[in-house]
This record gives sequence, structure tokens and C-alpha cells, in this order.
Amino acid sequence: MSIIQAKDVKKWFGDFQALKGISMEVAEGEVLVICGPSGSGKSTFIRCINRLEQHQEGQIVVDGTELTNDLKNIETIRSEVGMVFQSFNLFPHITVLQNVTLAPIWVRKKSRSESEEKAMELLERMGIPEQANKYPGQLSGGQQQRVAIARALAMEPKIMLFDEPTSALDPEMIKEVLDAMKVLAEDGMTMIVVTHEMGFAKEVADRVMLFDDGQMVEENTPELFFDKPKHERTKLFLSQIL
Amino acid sequence: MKNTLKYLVFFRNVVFLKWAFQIVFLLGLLSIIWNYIQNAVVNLENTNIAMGWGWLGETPGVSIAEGLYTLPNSGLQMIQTGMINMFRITITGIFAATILGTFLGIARLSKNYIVEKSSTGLLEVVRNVPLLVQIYFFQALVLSFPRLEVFDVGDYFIHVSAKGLAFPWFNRGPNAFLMMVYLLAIFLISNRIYKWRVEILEREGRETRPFLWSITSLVTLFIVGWYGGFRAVGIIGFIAGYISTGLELVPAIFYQALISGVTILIGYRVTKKFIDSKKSEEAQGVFIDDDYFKIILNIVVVLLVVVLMFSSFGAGLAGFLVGDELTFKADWGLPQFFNGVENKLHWYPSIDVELEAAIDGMKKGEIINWLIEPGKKVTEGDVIATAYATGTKIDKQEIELKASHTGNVESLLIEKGKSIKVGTPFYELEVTDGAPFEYSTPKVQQIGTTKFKEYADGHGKSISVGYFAIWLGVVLYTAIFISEVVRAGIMAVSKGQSEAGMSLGLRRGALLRLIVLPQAIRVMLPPMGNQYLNLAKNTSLGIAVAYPEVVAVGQTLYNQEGQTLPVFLIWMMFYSSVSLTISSIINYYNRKMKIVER
Repeated sequence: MSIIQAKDVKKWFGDFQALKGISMEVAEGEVLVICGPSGSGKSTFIRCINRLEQHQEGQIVVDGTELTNDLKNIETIRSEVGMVFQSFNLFPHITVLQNVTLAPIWVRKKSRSESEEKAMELLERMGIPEQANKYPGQLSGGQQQRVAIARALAMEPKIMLFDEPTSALDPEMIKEVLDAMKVLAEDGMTMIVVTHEMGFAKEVADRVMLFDDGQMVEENTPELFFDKPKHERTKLFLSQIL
Repeated sequence: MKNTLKYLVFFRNVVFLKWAFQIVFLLGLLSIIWNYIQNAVVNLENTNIAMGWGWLGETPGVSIAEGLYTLPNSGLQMIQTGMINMFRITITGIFAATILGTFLGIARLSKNYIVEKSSTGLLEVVRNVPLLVQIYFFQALVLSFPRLEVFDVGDYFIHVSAKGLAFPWFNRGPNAFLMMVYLLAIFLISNRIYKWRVEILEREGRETRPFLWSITSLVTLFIVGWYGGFRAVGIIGFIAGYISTGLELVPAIFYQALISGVTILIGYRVTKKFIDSKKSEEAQGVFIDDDYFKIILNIVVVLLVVVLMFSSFGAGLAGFLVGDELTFKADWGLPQFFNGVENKLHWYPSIDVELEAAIDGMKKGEIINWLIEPGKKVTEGDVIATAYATGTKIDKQEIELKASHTGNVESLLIEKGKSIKVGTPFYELEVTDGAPFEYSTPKVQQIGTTKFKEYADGHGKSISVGYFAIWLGVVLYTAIFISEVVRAGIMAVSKGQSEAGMSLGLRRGALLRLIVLPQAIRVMLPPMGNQYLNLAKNTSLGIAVAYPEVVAVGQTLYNQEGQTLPVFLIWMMFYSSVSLTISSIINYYNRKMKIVER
């Protein structure tokens, strides 16, 4: 049973067509890695899944709810889909703990004590419980990104979207974030990860996709994707990145 | 060795030259100022006007359209009235402009086409038309309503005429000051309770319902207060009474000696600290010429202050502190101030009851017989005196004067047989009963026996044309600029912040309130402060629509007395202090916000 279904999704920015008909399905518990050169539409596509961008043609169904202009549908999908950004986007004016409890309190209407308990649990899982009462500005990039993951998880989403989560990090911090994501994958979370970390893709992904010029060029298991790529474009991409 | 002198001559001594230049510069500056003042004084003398401050104590003989003292008996009271009228616009205006400006700023960013375009339209109109023109426009708008004279005498709920607008209001009774201090106190208490509950929540991690606790305590304290509990505030008046009495016992010379003594002490401490720092291990007690100059300068400054304190200036300052008669013949000094606090904030506040028109058209009253005496209790409605009323159709009509409040009579201010104007205080009363605020609706009444009409005092609230025009003018004008500040502030918060909030499922309202605005405020505060300063200063345009704020009042005064220079000095001091106060409040919040940011 697929939890995300996309059919012929198209998207234009003015005259520029960013997505030229993407069709795919993601099964529950699956980890999907999307890679591709910059400008290939991979970020745009996952941003369409929780309506940070609006697709103009095609159909996106998330957990049985279709993304339309219906506000109710958008809200339902957003509260079931967590997202982690390249630039963390933590709220700098409140503490780490408040960052994590904000959505449960204001969107899920949970009590403060309950959400704080849950938040501490998540921060512990991310390995940073001692940072709870600091402000985001006082944390390193890797710690900030792990807080961002905890913040998204606090809403208990069914799906997690990662938009180049390690691209803004120092090499030594990349590992701590990828480790946190691995733990998540092992726990059976449905994940779509846009990344250039091929090591992560090989080790954790169930499926790997290559996007180029607004189209999905190749889709395969990690083994076949890296060892026996079908398309020339994939071979070229892999030769440049590895 | 060339060019070496046995002794360093002064014109080649760098330290001497440096100080000499500074002293020459200072003397030059002082002589220019002195020359200018002398010039002004001589010119004024030639026109037979002696510049001075005496007029502050003299009765100006003009009336003010609205405000604290409509018939001021000193220049000081007149200026005070103008200042308070200015604050009436500034304080309410700042709140209104902030709220309106924030809404407009958010509307300008709205994705809703109609909301965005209409607020942009308003912005373009208001921003591109001079404020003075707008104020005239609002004045003309009100003046285009029918004259008050065409309406019947009687009670109304809301009333608009060419004389302004009137609406229902809670007017202050004698106990209002007690209640206001009480309200302030319970707000602080409930805020304290909120913080205390949050503290427990953070420490023990259990739900402590801070909001529920604070709101419950606020409501409870309000109910207790409304049914008489507010009189507890009277303790402040009680203490103020003792302070007032105590201050009167202190002779003026005490303050002169005190300030001199403190100055000497500070001078001594500063100089000693400086000398000690030179004696440290690194400095090894070496003094250079500069250091001697600094020490000498300290001594000179201290001596100057001491001399000044025992001159006529010091005597005047001390006179203010002890509240003796020489300060402008007005109730103006520390003991008088505390005495005022005692009267207003006593358990039973004491008021000067003013003569009211007991029948239509009454202008003056002459007491025939007092029916009360000091120490006697009166109930509202009791007959307190018989009097002749003048100004009515029948001359010297005999009337009965009734008590306006319940309380104990303290003293009679007017002897029988003496004629006084309506509005003059004629007895002192200690008020023991009555609500702090009284609800009433507007009333249209005849002015005396003339054919003109007015909104009656104490019935609802009426707003004059001038007040309406200047208030709406500065509020709208400032709100437009604040909306730009708000818009810039919101746009300064990165798009990623909204995206993060949206991806968590926050709705637009919550997103704005919890994420965007708290961060935008940081960017907005400094330019917001500038807009508040503009609003405060723009109130001076009130003069154009005959609103008696401090500039209008000051101009009337110097036309009357010819004292241009002192009035200008007062204006400058007044606006500077208001501006500095506003900017220090803004700076305080700016610092506070930054700490939260870390």
C-alpha cells in the first residue's frame, strides 16, 4: 500500500518548467533517496508534497488525502508530513525545547507538560538532551539540524521529508545528522531524502532516484543504481559525484 | 645636542598648549552665548519688556478651551494645561497608531488582492498629503455636521454636531485615583502570580495553569476592590501625609548644605580613586601634567557647585524642595506634592467642591447662609447653603445649594455675602462614599441664558473638533509610517521561518503571532521609536485647529506677556524631555529583546 502517490506532476515558475511530469509511489516504511544535479527539480518536488510549492498539473495523494486547494486537506497533510530543511530554519527567538514543543501545543493542542516530556524524549533520541534550554544560536550546525529533526518528529508525522539536510554542514557534523536519520529509518519511518550523500543512499535507502531537468531519469534499488546504472545520464552523474 | 633648552618654556610645552587651547575655546564659546543673551536682554529692555519668570506666577487673564485648568490663575497652570493636553493626544495616539499601523502593515502583505490594494491606496493618499492639510480636512469634516443649536436640549446616547462628538463614558469620581492605583497594583500582582506559576511549571514540570491562576486572582481582586477594597490604597496617602509634614520641618539651608556635602564627598571619592590608581604598581605613583590638571579641575568643579548652592540659585532650588512661597506663588514644591498625593490617595480623598449652576443660566453665586460647618457630615443631595444666583433672568434669585457628594466637611472656603463665579471651589469635603467611576450619557444643554448650546460637563464624554482633528490626523499619519515599518520588519524575517512554521501545520494567524512578529519586533523597534517621536512632535500642529496644546498655549502666553524667550526655553525643554523619555523607553525594550535573542 503506497502512502504517497504522484501522477504526472507538473510545475512552472513563470516560463520555466521545473517539473515535467513526475509519477511515483512511495510505500509505507520505505526510505527513498532522490539525487540529481542542482536545478533538476528534486527540491521543488518534495516541497510540492507538503504544499510549500503548489503544483499546477497532475495529482498528489498523501495517505489517502489529495492535495487540492482545500485548506482542510492542506492542514491535514502538513500535520502528517514533517520536513527538515537545508538551512535548519529553527526559530531563533525561543529555546530548543520551545522549538520542539511549539507545534504539539499550538497545532495538536496538547498540554505543555505532555509535549515537553515527549520533546525531551525526542532530544534524547537525537543525542542532545542537555541542549534543551539553550537558544538555537548557541548550538553547532549539526546540533541545530538534529533539533530540527526532533521538531518535525514532535508532530508524530507518518512521513518525513529531508531537503538536503547535510548540505550546509561541516564534514564532521554530517555524520551525526546522518546517524540520527539512520536511527529513524531503522524505526520504520517513511522518508524521502534529497541528498548528495551517496554513502547514506547505499546503506539506508530502499530505492534511489535520479532527477534531471524536471524529469525522473532513473529509479532503482541502491545496488543496481550504483553498480549497474541503466542510463547514460546516471553514469555521468555518478562519475562526477563519486 | 641642538635646540635643547635648560627649562621647557611654556609655549613649547605640549601639555600646556593642549589645555590652553581647550580653555580658550570654552571661554570663546561662553562669551558668544553671553553676548547673545546680553544682546537679547538689552533689546528687550529697550522695548520695555523685562525678561524673567515672574509671569509664571501671575494670572494670565485668558481662558483655555479645554483641559485641566480652563480658567488658569497662573502662567504655570496655563502651561501645565497645555502640556497635559499634549499628553492626551500623544499617549492615546501612540497606542492607537501602533495598533492601526500593525494591522495596515500586515494587510499590505496580505495575499488577498482587495485587502492589499485598499491598504496600499490609503497609504498613498495619507503619505502624500501634508499632515496639516489632513488635520484641516478632519476639522472641516466635523464642522460640516449640523450646528449643536439645531438639536433639542436633553440626553443622547451618541451625538455628533459641528461642536464635536459625544458618547457614553465612565467619568472619574473623587475616588477614581484610589481605584486607578488599585487597578495598577492588581495588574502587577496577577502578573507576578503568572510568573510564579510558570516558575513552578518549569521547575517541577507539572501543569500549573498560570493563565487561569492569574486571571482568577485578577477578577477576585477586582471584585474585592470594586466593593470598597480599593480604599486599601489609602495607605499611600497616609504615608505621603507624614512625608509632607516631615518635609515642611526641614529648613532650606539643610538642602543647600546636603547637596554641597554630597558634591564634596563625590569629588573627594573620585579624586582619591584617581590618585590611588596612579599609586598602583604599574604606575608607581608617577604623575604627569595631565593628571595634575585633572585633579585641579575636580576641585574647581566641586567648589563651583558649593558656591552655586549658597548663591541665589541654590536658595531657589532649596525653596522648591521645601515648597516655600517664593516659588511662583503656586502650589509647587515637594511638601505640596506629597500633600496633593495625601489628598487624592487618602482612604477618604479630600476634594475642593466647585460651585455648580443650580439653575439654568446661573453665572455667579452669593452665599446667604451656610447650613454646614467643618466637621459636619453631609449626604449627597442635602441642602448645604442658601444663595443668590446672578446671571439668570430674575436677578438675585434665591436658591438652595445641594451637596454633590457624601462625606465630612473639612472647611468652608467662602464667607457668606461674598459673590463667586460658577466653577470656583467653595468648600472642602472629605468624600466617604461613592463609586470611583460613574457611567453617564451625553447631555446637550443651553449655555446660560444665551441661545447657544454645549455638551454638559460630567455627562458622558465629549470630544472637541480640535481634539478630534489633531488626534485623527497624527494617528492616521503615524499609523501609515508604522505600517511601513511593520511591513519591513516582517519581510526581514527570512522566508524559511514561515516555511518551517507552515510545514509544522501552523495556521497563518499562529505563524504570525508565534514566529514572525516576535522576530520582526526586533527589527522594528528602533524605527518605531522614531515614529513615536514624530507623533509627539506633530501634536504641535494642534495650534492650527485651535487645540490648546503646549505650543498654542505658549503662543497665547507670549502674545499676552511678551516673554518670547522664556516660552521658547520652556518649549525646548518640554519637547526634549518628552523625546528623551520616549527614546529611553524604546532603548530599554530594545535591550530586553536582544537578551532574549542571545
